[in-house]
Order: sequence, then structure tokens, then C-alpha cells
Amino acid sequence: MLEFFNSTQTIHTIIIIGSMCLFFIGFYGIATQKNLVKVLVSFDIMESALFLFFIGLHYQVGLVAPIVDSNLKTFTNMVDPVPQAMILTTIVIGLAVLALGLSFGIEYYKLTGRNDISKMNELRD
Amino acid sequence: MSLGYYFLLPVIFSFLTPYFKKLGSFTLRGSTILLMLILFLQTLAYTGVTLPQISEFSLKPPLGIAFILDGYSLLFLLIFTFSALIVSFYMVWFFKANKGRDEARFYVFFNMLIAGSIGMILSCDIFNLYIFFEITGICSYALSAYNKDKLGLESGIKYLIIGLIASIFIVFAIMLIYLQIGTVNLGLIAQRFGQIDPKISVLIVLMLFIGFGTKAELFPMNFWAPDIYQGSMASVNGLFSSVVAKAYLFVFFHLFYLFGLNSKYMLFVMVIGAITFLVSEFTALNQTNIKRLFAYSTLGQLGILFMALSTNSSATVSGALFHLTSHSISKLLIFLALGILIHKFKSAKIDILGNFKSGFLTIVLAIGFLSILGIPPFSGFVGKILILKGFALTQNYAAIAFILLVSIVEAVYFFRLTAMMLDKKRTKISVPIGFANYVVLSVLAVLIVLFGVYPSLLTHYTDLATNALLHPTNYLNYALGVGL
Repeated sequence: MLEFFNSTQTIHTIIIIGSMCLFFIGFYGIATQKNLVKVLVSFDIMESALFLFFIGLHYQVGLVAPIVDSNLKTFTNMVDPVPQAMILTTIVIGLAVLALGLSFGIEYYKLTGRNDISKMNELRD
Repeated sequence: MSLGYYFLLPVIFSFLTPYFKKLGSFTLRGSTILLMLILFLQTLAYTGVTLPQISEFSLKPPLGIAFILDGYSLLFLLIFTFSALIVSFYMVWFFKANKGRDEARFYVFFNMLIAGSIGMILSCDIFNLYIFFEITGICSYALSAYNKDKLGLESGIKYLIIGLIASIFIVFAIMLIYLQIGTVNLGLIAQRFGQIDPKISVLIVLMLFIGFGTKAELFPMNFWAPDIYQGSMASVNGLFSSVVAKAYLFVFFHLFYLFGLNSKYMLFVMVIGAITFLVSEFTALNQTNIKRLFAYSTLGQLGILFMALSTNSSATVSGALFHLTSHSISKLLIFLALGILIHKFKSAKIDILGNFKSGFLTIVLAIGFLSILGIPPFSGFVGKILILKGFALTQNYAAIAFILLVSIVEAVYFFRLTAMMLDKKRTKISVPIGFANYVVLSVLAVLIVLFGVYPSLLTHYTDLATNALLHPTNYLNYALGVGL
């Protein structure tokens, strides 16, 4: 039984299904929630799903993390480091956008006392 | 100078802004003008060297990070650095007229915005491109909410949410590309894009189309643009219209031709562009807010550009690039001049155009309007006629008829605005114009007339750009590190 879970294919399947579920949870949040904070969190969940999907698909059983230390002296037997570097950068960018969005939300709440995005409709002709 | 300085310098200046602020507002404004002047002069220096130019970091491409300047990006670099220089001069007047604004906050994001836009057009690596895409995005959200009033914050929030959607699509596209090809280098992706399974390739193209199309204000993903323009300051609108939207458009067509999508998706992009043009111009007809009106006009012009740039014929593309340059200059002129009026009247209603008394502003605004409409002897006329000539050469008469017919709609509101300005019956209030603005607006107006009378000043660069865009062999060789 444990052998079954320790195969690359099973892990990839689980990751694909799991990240898709997570993605649709985020999508559901965006579609239904009206609170700005909740919408931003939903976007973050969607992004996390993408990150998991991408990192997970580059993992293979038996390979180690691409970090050079006492256990890993040569550049063999490790997973592809590029996706990890990419996702690390993307996480930082996502954090910056989230922080900016929340700060806008705080300022907007201070001004109007509202954080409902369906009522943000003053910009019109 | 290494190409890296194009975005390193603005980023460094942006980080130094708090220190400049301590030294006084003169240093703050002066340093930004100096920076933009350096970038613009450097770009002018690049017009004399053989292209493409490459700057690589750490390793040679395709393994390392590289930045490539070819004819196509040179034209955009000229537009961006020039617009940035103009806006940095204009902001001197703006901050003198609006005392007590947080200047440092503006300059931080302004410098970063320029860094991001320039990085996007120089980057030869789809992941770096995404990073610069996000830098530009974040700075646009922040600039859009700069006023921190209700409208500004609302537009900032809306822009941010739209940006998040676009970035999710682009991240997903990049991931799919990496999963399929195993590289992020644009040259390698271009080489191997045809070998991807067609189903996944369609998905990637769709993702990239939605991501960059949303940001480049393409129908039907452009519903947000008028709101953002309405909530932001006029000078920021000028930047959005002449730098940010053009940077996204650059990337859109860069990838379009580099990945060889032109044969398959030409008609699709053309039809989408045509719909953008039609819908925007008709919606612009009954706008009462001046910023919204010009937002719709920008969308319409972008529609023409999308139509013409996707045709794969060098005459049309060259004309479109001419029109793009002319549109950038004219829209910058219009938005900056409107900024003066909006500051004076504290309103953005369309009536303010009829209520000011200033011969100078009337002339420059009329030049801007007529140039966008395409009346000789202004540069917009040359741009439109070159596009029409290109369509005629490829015997696409439907497109010619379409552009001419929709231009009539455009003419209706532009002539209405011009007539409103010249109407003597309205009560007129004189508007003070700072010295910096006289310089800025006259430079822009003179350029519009100059390019209209002597198009050959610009056609040299547009031809260079067209050649680089349609036949990216040189670019690919450099991106793949062949013969370096």
C-alpha cells in the first residue's frame, strides 16, 4: 500500500487533483464573495494552487531538493531547480500585490466605511 | 552602456527617492528629470549603432539571462523614454500647482513604472518578462490610486483585481510552456513552439492572449479601462495611454510573431481589433466625462493598431507602428493639457473644454484632436494613410472601408469637442499655464506637426522595427546565443 503512494505517478495524480480543487475553491471565492479581503484571499488561494501544481509536477520520487549541502555534493539526483526559483519569485510578487491590495482596502474603508466590491461603482459616466 | 542600466538606473533612483526627498523637492524633481534625460539620450545614441545589441548576465544565452535591443524594441524605447522625460517635466508644474502632495510617493512609482515597461520590451526570457510585467502592474495600481480619494482608490482596487486575473493566466501559460519545452528562453521557445501538442499549444495561446490582451485593453477584456482612466490623474492617464498600454501591446505582438502564431491567428486578432475599434468609438460618443471619453478613444486607436499589426504585411505593420508613435505623442499631449484644465476647474466634465480662455491651450488641444482623427498635416494623418495603403496593397478593402466608416463616428465627437473650444458664446475663464507646460506642450505639438510634414523622420525607425518584428531571425540568433 505504501509502495503505491510512493510512486511518482500517484503523487502527480494527487497533486493535480488537489491543486485543481484548490484552484476551484479560489475561483468560487472570487465568484461569490463580495468582501474585498475575501476576494483577495481567494486570489491567493488560486495562485497557491498554481504554485503547488507546478512544483509538484517537477517532483520525482528519489530526487532531493536542489540545495547544495553536506548530503548533496554533485549536481545529480536532484529535482529541476528552475521551477523552484521561479515559484519563489512568483510568491514574492504575489505577496507584494496582496499587500498593496489590502492597503488600498484599508484606505478605502477609512474613507467610506465599506469594503464591499459590488458597491464600488462610483466610477461611471 | 549595458542594456541592464535601462531598468537598473530607474530602480536605483526609485530606491534613493527618500534621500532625495530629504534634500528638498528641487533635488527630487531634478533627479528624475536628469534620469529620464540620461535614458533618452542613451536611446538616441543607440539609433546610430548596429542592431540587435545584447547584454547578458552571468551566463551566455540560452542558459543565462539576456536582454536584447532590436529595431522593434528601439522604436518603443524611444517612445517610452521620451514620454517619461515629458511627464517628468510636466510633474514639476503639477507639484508646484498642488502644494502639499506627497511627491516622493509619485516618483518612486513613476521611476519603477518606467523600469518595468522598459524591462518588458528588452527582456529575452519569458519569466523575466513576467516579472517586469508585474512590476509595471504594481506601479500602475499604485499610481492609479495616487490621489487616495474615493475614485482613485476604487480605480486602484479595480485595476489590481484585473491585474491579478491577468497574471494568473500568464503564470499558468508560462508554467505550461516550461512543462512542455523545459526552458524560459524566448529563442528556444520560439524554435520549439511548433512541436508542442496542438491542444496544449492552443491552451497556451489562449492563456497568453487573455493575459496580455486584458492588460493591452483588448475587447472584450477592456471594460475596466475607462474606470481606471476616470479615477487616475491626467498625467498618469497620459502614461497609461502612451507607455503602459503600448508596452503590453509590444509584448503581445512580439510573442505573436516570435512564436509564429501569425498565420493561424491573424484573422482572429484582426476581428477582435476591429470589434474593439467599433465598440469603443460608439461608446465614446455619449460620454460626459472627459477622461472616460479619451479612455474610449485610446481603446479605439488600440483597436486599429491590433487590426493593422496582425496583418503580417510589412507596409501595414510599418504604418501601424507610425500610427502608434503618433498616437502616443498625441494622447500624451491631450492628457497633459487636460490635466491643466482639470486642475483649474476641479472637474472632469466635458463642459470644461468650452469654458477656458487660453489661445495656446486651444491650439495644442486642437492639434492633438485633429492628429488622432487623422487630418493633414498632422502625424495621425500619415499614420492612418499608411495603414490604409498597406491594406490596399494586400487588397483588404473591407478593412479600409471599416476604418474609414468608423472614423466618421470618431470625427463626430472630435469635431464637437473642437467646436466647443472655439465657441465664443460660452463664458470663458482664463487658465494660467506654467512655464514648464509651455515647453512641454509646444514640444509635443511641434513633433506632431513635424512628423506630419516630414514622415521620413520617423519612417526610418518604423521600417527598421517592422523588419525586426516580421523577420526575427537576427533576434532569434542572439537569443539562442548563436555566434556570440
